[in-house]
Amino acid sequence: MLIQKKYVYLALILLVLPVMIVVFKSQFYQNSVYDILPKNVFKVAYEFDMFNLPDIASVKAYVPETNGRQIIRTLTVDRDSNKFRTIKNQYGKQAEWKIINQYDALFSYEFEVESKSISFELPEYTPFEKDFADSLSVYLNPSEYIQSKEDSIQLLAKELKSYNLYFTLRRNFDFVGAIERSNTSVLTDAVTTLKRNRGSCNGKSRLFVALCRAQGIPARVAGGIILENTQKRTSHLWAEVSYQGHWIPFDIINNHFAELPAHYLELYKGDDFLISRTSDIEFYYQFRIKESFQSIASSERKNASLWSLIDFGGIPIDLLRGILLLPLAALIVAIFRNIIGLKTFGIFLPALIGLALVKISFIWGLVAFFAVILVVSILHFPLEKLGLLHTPKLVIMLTCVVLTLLGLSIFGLKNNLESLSTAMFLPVIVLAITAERFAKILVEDNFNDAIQMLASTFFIAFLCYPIFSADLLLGVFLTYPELYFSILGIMILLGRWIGLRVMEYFRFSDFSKYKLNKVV
Amino acid sequence: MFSFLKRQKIEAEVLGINKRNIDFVYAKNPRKYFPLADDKVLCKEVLHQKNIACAETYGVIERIGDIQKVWINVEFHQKLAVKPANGSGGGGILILKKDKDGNWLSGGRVITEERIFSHFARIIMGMYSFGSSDRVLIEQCIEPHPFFAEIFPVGVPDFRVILLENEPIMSMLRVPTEKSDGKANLHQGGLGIGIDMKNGQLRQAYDGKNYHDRHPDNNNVISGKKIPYWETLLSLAIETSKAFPLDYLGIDIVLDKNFGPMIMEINVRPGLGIQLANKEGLWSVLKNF
Repeated sequence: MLIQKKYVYLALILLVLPVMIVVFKSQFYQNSVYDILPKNVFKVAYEFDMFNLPDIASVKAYVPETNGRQIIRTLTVDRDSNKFRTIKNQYGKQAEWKIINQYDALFSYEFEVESKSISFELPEYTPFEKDFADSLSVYLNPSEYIQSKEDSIQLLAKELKSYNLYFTLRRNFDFVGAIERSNTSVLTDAVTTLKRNRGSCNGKSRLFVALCRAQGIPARVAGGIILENTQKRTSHLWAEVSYQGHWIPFDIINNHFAELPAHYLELYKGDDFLISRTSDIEFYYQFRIKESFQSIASSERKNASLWSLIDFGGIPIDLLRGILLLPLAALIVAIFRNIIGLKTFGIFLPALIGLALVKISFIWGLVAFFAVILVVSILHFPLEKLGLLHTPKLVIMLTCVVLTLLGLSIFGLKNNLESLSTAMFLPVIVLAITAERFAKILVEDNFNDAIQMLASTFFIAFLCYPIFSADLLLGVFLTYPELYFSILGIMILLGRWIGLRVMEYFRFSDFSKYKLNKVV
Repeated sequence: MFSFLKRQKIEAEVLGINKRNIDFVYAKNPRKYFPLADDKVLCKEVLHQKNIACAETYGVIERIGDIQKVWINVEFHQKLAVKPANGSGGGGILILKKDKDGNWLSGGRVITEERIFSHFARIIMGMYSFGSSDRVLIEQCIEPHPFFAEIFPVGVPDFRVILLENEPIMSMLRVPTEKSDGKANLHQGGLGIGIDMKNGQLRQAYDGKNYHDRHPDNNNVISGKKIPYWETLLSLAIETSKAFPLDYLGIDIVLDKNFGPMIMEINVRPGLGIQLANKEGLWSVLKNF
């Protein structure tokens, strides 16, 4: 028996129980793999500030709804002393505040968005559709700012129309895309955009929709916000074309053909204003948007997981990644040391090198690693000759290592290698420690041993690299922290395992052979 | 890679690191007594107390400020061995001898007092014990028994005896080579020579790759050589083992020209290379213990 029974039982309890809890929890909450993957989530707050209000004032703003592409959780709505309600109209869902007998008002509407990108396969042979449902007729007719019956539009539409839907849309898209871009947020209609040959997102989208309608293709504009980590007042308008019951998005100004990126928040469909309000009041608004990282499973069941670390504390995900997955990487190191029998620099160093590689990208990590080892090897012999004390010698090495890495950083900056120039903090420390261990082995043993240990250290670091870069693993440990106990269980097994290490079979294979031959 | 039979044979005979640590090092040696073995100064305190033969301690320097004070008391000796109390692998050991004019020599060259003191300082500042501060042990210099010169005339060879509960289990003789720079450690290029414990005879010499009947550098005979004082040496090892509250030990013993077997140091985690030197597995001996 390679491990005593009591340890096996203890380890199995630690190992199996958490796994059972995880299985139970995932069944109970019906978490799918997608649920526990860390995802980009945006917190959006509409903030309204107004004064000089009449007896009755109202503010309406489109608010997003959950659909196949975006999941919305409403967080807080300021409604005290205001009459608040939500209304649905043909364009979408509106939040409405009525402010009665107040000079001023300040309120906000906060929600969380998790969205994914969507893109439609629209092959080059896509034909025109005929015989549209009655409900689509409104999208074939002109509207106030989309004057599809105007002569200038009709003429252009005829010119651009091709023999099938794909090429017609492509030609419309390219034509409108070539129009000079203006950054004004003033409302521009389709005709004006064509006449001025200048347009912003709303003008271009309207022109595109007008051309489509003139060509007998049902189309509409859609409004929303481009989500980014900022505070802003600009909203966004793009176009949608109906095909086989789907509304296919086209954002001309940002060159998205039949696709919508993940950070687009959909608010309303049709030609309307995002915010409408009583006129003649002093009104100020902004959208405060903050990107965070979490999973959907978390915000509904915060207590069940470590996700709250991110949700509440705002611990940066990259920092968390290093901390949360370090035990798992250390487990790999332990297995390689105690079962395979590889010698490494230190116990956690291979894991930390793996983490450092994630921070500065794999290739540049390798370059930095070998540059550091080269510097240490070159410095080793003259420093040994000087007969310096251990600590000052290490400081000299560290200084040279830092200089080397700074050199690499500057190289990275000059060549726009962002990963190389930023996030050097951890790698500097890790590489400096590696350098120290390497130098120590150089002194204590010999060059060959040092190189061998270097190779196995790096080999294990290489295996730890995917652990730190896997989002799924991060999600699993964030959602099911009880799995850490399984690591403890495995380590108890390993800690009491008295079998021969793989390398020992090689080491002692010689004498076994000699003994058989009875040389003595 | 290995046939099942060969694997089985290795598993039945060889003691690996995992089993050594769990079943012997940790099981037999209470951790609180590890320093008695790891620290040469503490180790020698025990040895002196029990009157066990070992190099006489001339002085111990704990602080840089004490260097002068201790030096005055030891500098009348003709020969000195200077060691870091917590050094490993022979690093930081300085052998000092006086020439006719009273100058100190190290490695055949004159060394100034200033250089000697700076060596003490380096030991105290932890240069040979990797950062942590250390103590300097100044002791009697061993003069190798002529038996060793018959094998290899440079450096100080030593015997390693592994004992379990005061019973010698396996032993070897470690001899320097030209490559090992006077050091006798196996992984520094020295030779490990197995010992037939019953007869006190040397077996073949192992250099990390091959086995030799003669020393590879000078062709001097090794295999079959009788070890002088073998019985005394073994009983000294047993006596030492009894003096320490440690039950799985590797004891290093030197043979002095004038004083015979003397304890050099003791080890709570004796290496496993001894099995290669003896072509015999420790586990095949220990499992029947």
